[in-house]
This record gives sequence, C-alpha cells and structure tokens, in this order.
Amino acid sequence: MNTIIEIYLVVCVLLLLFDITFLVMKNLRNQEFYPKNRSLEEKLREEIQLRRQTGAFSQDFEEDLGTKLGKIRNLITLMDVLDGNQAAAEWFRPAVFAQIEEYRKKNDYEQAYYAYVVSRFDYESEPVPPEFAAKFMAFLDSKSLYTFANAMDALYQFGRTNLLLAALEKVDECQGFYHQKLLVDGLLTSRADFRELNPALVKAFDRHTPFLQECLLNFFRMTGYDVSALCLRLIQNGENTDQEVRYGAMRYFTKYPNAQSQSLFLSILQREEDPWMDQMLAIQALEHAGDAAVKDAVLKKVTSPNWYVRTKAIACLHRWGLTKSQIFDILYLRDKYADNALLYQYRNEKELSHYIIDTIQLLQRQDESINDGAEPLPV
Amino acid sequence: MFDFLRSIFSLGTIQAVLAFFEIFFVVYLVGYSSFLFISVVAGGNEIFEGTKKKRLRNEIHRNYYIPISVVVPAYNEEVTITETIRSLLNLDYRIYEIIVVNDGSKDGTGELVAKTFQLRQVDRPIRRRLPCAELCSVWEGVGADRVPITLINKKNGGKADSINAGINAAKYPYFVCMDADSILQKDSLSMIVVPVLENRNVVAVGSMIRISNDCVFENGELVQLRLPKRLTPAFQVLEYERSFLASRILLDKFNANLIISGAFGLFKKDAVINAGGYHAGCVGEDMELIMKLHAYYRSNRLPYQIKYAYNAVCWTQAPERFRDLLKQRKRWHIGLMQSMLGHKSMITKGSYLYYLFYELLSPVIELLGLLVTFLAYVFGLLNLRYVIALFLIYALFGAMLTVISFVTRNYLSSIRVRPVDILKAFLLCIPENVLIRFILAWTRILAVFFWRGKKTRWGEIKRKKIDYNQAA
Repeated sequence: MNTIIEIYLVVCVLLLLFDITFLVMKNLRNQEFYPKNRSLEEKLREEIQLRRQTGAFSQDFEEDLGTKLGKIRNLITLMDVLDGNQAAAEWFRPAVFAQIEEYRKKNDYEQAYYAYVVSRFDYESEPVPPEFAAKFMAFLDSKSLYTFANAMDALYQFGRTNLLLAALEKVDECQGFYHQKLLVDGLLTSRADFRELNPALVKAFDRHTPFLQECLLNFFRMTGYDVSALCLRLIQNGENTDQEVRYGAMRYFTKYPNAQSQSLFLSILQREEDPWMDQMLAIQALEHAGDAAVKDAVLKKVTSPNWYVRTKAIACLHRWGLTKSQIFDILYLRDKYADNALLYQYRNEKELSHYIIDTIQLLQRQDESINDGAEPLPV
Repeated sequence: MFDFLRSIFSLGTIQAVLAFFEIFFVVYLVGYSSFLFISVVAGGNEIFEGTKKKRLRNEIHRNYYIPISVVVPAYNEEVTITETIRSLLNLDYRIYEIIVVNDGSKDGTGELVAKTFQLRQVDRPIRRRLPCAELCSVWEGVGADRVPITLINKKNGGKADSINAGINAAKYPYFVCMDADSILQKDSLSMIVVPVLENRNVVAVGSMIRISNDCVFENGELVQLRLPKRLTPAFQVLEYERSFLASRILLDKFNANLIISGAFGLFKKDAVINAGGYHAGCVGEDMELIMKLHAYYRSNRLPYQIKYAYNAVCWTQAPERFRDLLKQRKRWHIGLMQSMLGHKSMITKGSYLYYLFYELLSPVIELLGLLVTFLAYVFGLLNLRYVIALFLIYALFGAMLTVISFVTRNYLSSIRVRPVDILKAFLLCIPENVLIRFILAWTRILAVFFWRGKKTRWGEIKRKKIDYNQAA
C-alpha cells in the first residue's frame, strides 16, 4: 500500500510541475497576439507606391502575395494599410478572392474576418465574378453568426438578386438566428436593383417562414413598395396566416393606407371580440382617415379594457383635435384610466389640461354628493 | 478498544478489507488530482486562447447582438433589488428588457420597484407557455436608455416558479436568469452571448460567478479586487475560483457541464419551453434544468451545445456567517441529489458519472477514506510517515492548484490581484483543503440523511446592502 501512496506523491509533484511550466510558457508565448507583420506593412506600402507609379506590382511580390494573404495576421495587416484607400484595395481583390478555399478551412473567426474583407470591396465599379460568388455562398452554412452576418453583408454589396434570394433561403433555415433588424437593414442598404428584387421577393413570399415574411413586410413598409394587395390578402386570410405576419401586414397600412384597408379596419373596430392587438393596429391605421364613422368607432375605444387600445384611441383623438365638449363627453364616462390618458395627451396644452383637471374634480364632487344623497351639482 | 476490534476480526480479514478500501481511496484521489490538474491546464490554455480570439473578434468591427430578456426573480429582496435593477440599466448591450418577478414577497419589494422606477399597471396578457402560480398584476415602465422594465407580481411559488412566469412574459428569444442580490458586470451580456454567436446550436450558456464581499465598485464596475477580510467568504472565493476557472472550462470542452449557476445564465427560450421549463418542486432548479436540457436534446437526437463563458462575470454576495454557508451547501447538495436521481437515464454520459462520484458521493467517499486511512494506521498497515506525507501532498497539491486558479484572475480583467491577497490565498487554501472541505463534506452527508421530502422555499441567507453603483 505504501508503494501506491509513493506513486501518488510522485504523480502529484510531476503534475504540479508540468502545470506551472505549461502556464508560464503559454503566457510567455502569448505576450503579443497576432502581432502586426511590420515587414509586410512596409512592403505593402512600397508596392502600392510602385503600382501608382508604374501600374504594376513587382514580380516577386505578386508571386508571394497569394501565400501571404492565406494567413490571417497578414490579411489584417493588409486591411490596416488599405484603410481609406479604396482604389488601392481593388488591386488586391483578385489575390484575396483567390484565398477563398484556404479560408473555408479555417476557424470561424478567421472565416468571419475573410467574409468581412470581401464585403469591403467596391462592387459598383466591378461586379463580383459569378464563380467566386457561387463559392462564397458556402460561408452561409457556417453555424457562427459572425461568419454568417459578414457573409450576408458581402452579399448585400454584391447586389445580385438571385444570390440574395438564395441567401434568404439560408436565413429562413436559421429560424431567427440572424436577427430581423440585421436582415431588414441589410436589404435596405443593399446594392441590388430594387425594380428586380422587389417583385422577386413578392413572388417568393409564400415559400418563406413567418419569421422571414414578417421581415419582408417590414422591408416593404420601409421602402414603400406597393404590396397592398398582398397585405390585404394576409389580413383577410387571417386563419391561415401567422399572427405576427398578419400584424406586419396591418402595420403596412398604418403607413400606406387605402380605401379598402380603411373599411377593413373600421369593421375590426366595430367587432368587440377582435383581439386587442388588432384593435390597436386598426386605430393606428385609421389615424389618416378621420371621417365621422371612424371618429365614432375610435371614440368608443377610449374605455376599452385594454390599456394599449385605450391610450392609442385617446392619442388618435387628440391628434384629430377634440373640442371641450368632446373632451367633456369622454370625462363624463368616468373612466379613471381614460382620464389619465387624456390628461397625458394634453399635458403641454395649458388651457385644456386645466379644463380636464377641473372637470375631473367637478365630476368627482358630483359623484360624492350623489353618494351622500344630495342633489346633483349643476354641470 | 483496538484490542477489542482485533479480537472480533482476524487481522488477515481486516487487512484485506482495509487494503481494498485504501486502494479505492487512493485511486479516487489520483483521479480527482488528475482532474484538477487537467482542469487548471485546460482553463489556463482556454483563457490564453480566448484572448487571441478576442483580438480577432475586435477586428471585425461589428455590433452583433441577440435581444435578451433579463429575468430577475425576487422574494423579500427590498434591501438589494433597486441596486440590482440600477446596475442592470447600466449594462453595455444593445437590446434587452428587464423583467422583475415579485414572488409574493412579504416585504415591500414590489411596491419599491414600481415606485422607484415609476412603473404603471397595465392589462398586458401573458401567454402561459410554462406552468406558474397565479399572476396578480403586471407593471411596465421604461428605465434609462429606453430599457423596458416589467414588474410581475404573483402569488408565492418559489424561485423556479417565478422564473417560469418571467419566461412567459419575456418578449425576446433568449433570456438571462439571475438572482436579485447579484450584480452583472457591465460587459457581461455582451460576453455571455458570444458562445451563441459562435454557434447557433448553443442552447444555454453559463457564466463566471465571483464573490463581491469587500470588493469596491464604482458605477457598477469593479475598481478594487480584494480577498474578503472574513474567513468564511474568503474560503469561498478560493473555492469559486477553482471551480469556475478550472473544472467548468474543462467540462465545457466535452459539452459536459451539468450546472449553470442560477445566479447568471443565458438560455434559448424555445429550448427551455420545449424541455418543460424550471421544475417548481426542485431545490436545485438550475441544475435540474440543465439535466433536463441534456436529456431532451439527447433523447430527440438534436444537435445542441451547453457552453460556459468564463469572461461573463456576475458578482454575488457569499454568506458571511459559517452557519449560512452550511445551510447553503446543504441546500445545494439536496438539489444535486434531486436532479441526479430525477435523470438517471443520463448515467451513460461521462459527466453524469463525474458528478456522481466527485460531487454527489464525494462527501461519503472522502470521509470514508479518512476513516479507512486512520484504521489502516491503527492496524499497522500504514506507516505514519506515509500517512502524514499523503495528507501533506494532497493539501499542497490542492493548494497550489487553487492559487494558480486565483492568480489566473489577472488575465480576465485589468484589475490586478494584490500581492498581499496572493499570500493570503496561499495561506488560506491549505486549511480550505484539509479542514473546510471535510466540514462541508460532513454537512452534505447530514443534509442527505435528514432531508425530509420536498422543500421549495427560497434560501434564506442574511444579506447586507452593497453599494455597487456608488459614484466615482
């Protein structure tokens, strides 16, 4: 048994020694991570100067460039040198593109950085080569959002409708992992030809998941592309449409109302059983209308049991403008929440806010006196 | 007495039995020492590699984010809750909301939150995707930088029940669950999402829990790191550092972490809902959930990862009194036992066996080992020199690894560990290894023996108010 303990002692001492040595060595080796390649930096500056003067890089440099850019730290050095020098960046584009296979094999962060570098080139003056674009799509198979989002950025810059449609299929597969805002912002800033892209997106709309459909509706709302027919269909076909998509379609009409949508929203407001979200969006969409029937329907919502519907209705009425008599009608309903919401809307209008406060107090006194059995106060 | 024992058993039988146990005990110790050693090496290596990754991540120049709901369950937390929410409002993150779940507190927790942050009652409907006790009212408001704050007042149902209510109310696809008496470091949300951004199959991320006792904070940020003056929290600092900077990083390499501390963890909401949410009848609800997630994804053969982000830091108060520490450890051990017994199907997973032998059964094995060593010495099977040497080497080895873990802190932030604290750590980690460890082991054994069925109350440990948000 003593032998076993001796072995244990020796093992512990050896393990400890190894542990300390390993950590000290590792620390010393990592004093500086990804140090900039100073010699490459100088060489790059010289070669850029040479190219400006003679129109070509030196032959040795051109031959070595591919191998050098296969290493991430050299790619970082290149991007630092090219910072703000778009013309020079274009000279290095073929060499960077040639490294795609090399970077596909690297770790996620290195792939992400490569995708970022690709997204920085100017595709306005020189479109992306189709063979490269086809290979580049493989970056969208990455499980890393860093790589995925940078690859998407590059695709927005490529501006090709077919690539964007294929990319959207990949986004669909991610099930919301690529955030809605990144997608909508990306599409809005894309270099794509929107005359070609928008109809293609509408055509493929039903194939997508509700997540992507909602994103696309947000995108259409922001670009102002006319999808009112599609939105009407989505609202009317409520049972077969995802709730969030339906709300997206309703929000579209809050910005681009039309006669058909107005009558649809009016009917929603007139149905008490419709969900509060529908009623709130309906009020929002009807803000542009303001005719008597609409006003009447919105006025009925100031005492809605739902807080959002109530405040939205009062905000809407405030925007249309209320007379003292109409304000009194609301206050006379004696709904404490509606009173507060009204007071909030008129907080910057001195006369009307005083009128509201006075009327609320008057009605309270009246109620108290009725409870005490006295005659109602004159109003 | 020894003669009496000698008269009952023949020496040969006793020697054989003791030899068997002694071999088992030594093998067990070798296994544990090796695990500790590999953990510290792997932890150190990961921290160095992580620094490299961070450099490259910074080169990408982009703000990637996922929206997060921060769920804060609270029960009788009026002393700390406002400080906690204020610190949450200072987090360095793009899109997040704060959901405070007041679990039927008997003090003024709910009223204090509503009044301090000017919340107002709303009729917001909340879909009950996970079971939870009846909700009484929902309050909403907006904090600094337009961060939405929601307060849910509900009937008392325990911590797990409160988190379930918070998940039901969460608007975003990922949620963070934390303790109401803990504080998140300013960059903690940006750090805890990194594993999710690196791999979309990540369903949960654990964090580094550090002890805030005696540390100095300004505007929610640590400015001075100190080993607590009192012995009880100081011992816990050493224990936490060893556990969080070593073993969890190693287990993470094999997707084998079975614990994400309830003090701070990130979860994919759908994954938790699919797995059934937190188990309200369990004391160790945090571990139980992780076991459940492992079991759910393994049985459905779905790809998943449960990761550990050592640089996402949450500061928490450690019990200052030794009896509070014992109470806490009893609770944790019962939670561990409940979780492991509830998921016996996981026995084929290596990490389950590790937790079984080196966590759940460790108090029994360690104390039995001590007893057997003592008896072996009595029966003349061990040389006294060797017994002393065994304990010394065990203590020194454990102590050295603890100090290494403690010093590794230097690589995690710009705040350096003071030399006096390193010396103090070195002096404390020997008694921590040879004394405190065995006292806690004994407490954990008692906890199992005297456990009387389900207990779902909140752990009641005396807290003191720490000013995390004091102005610079």
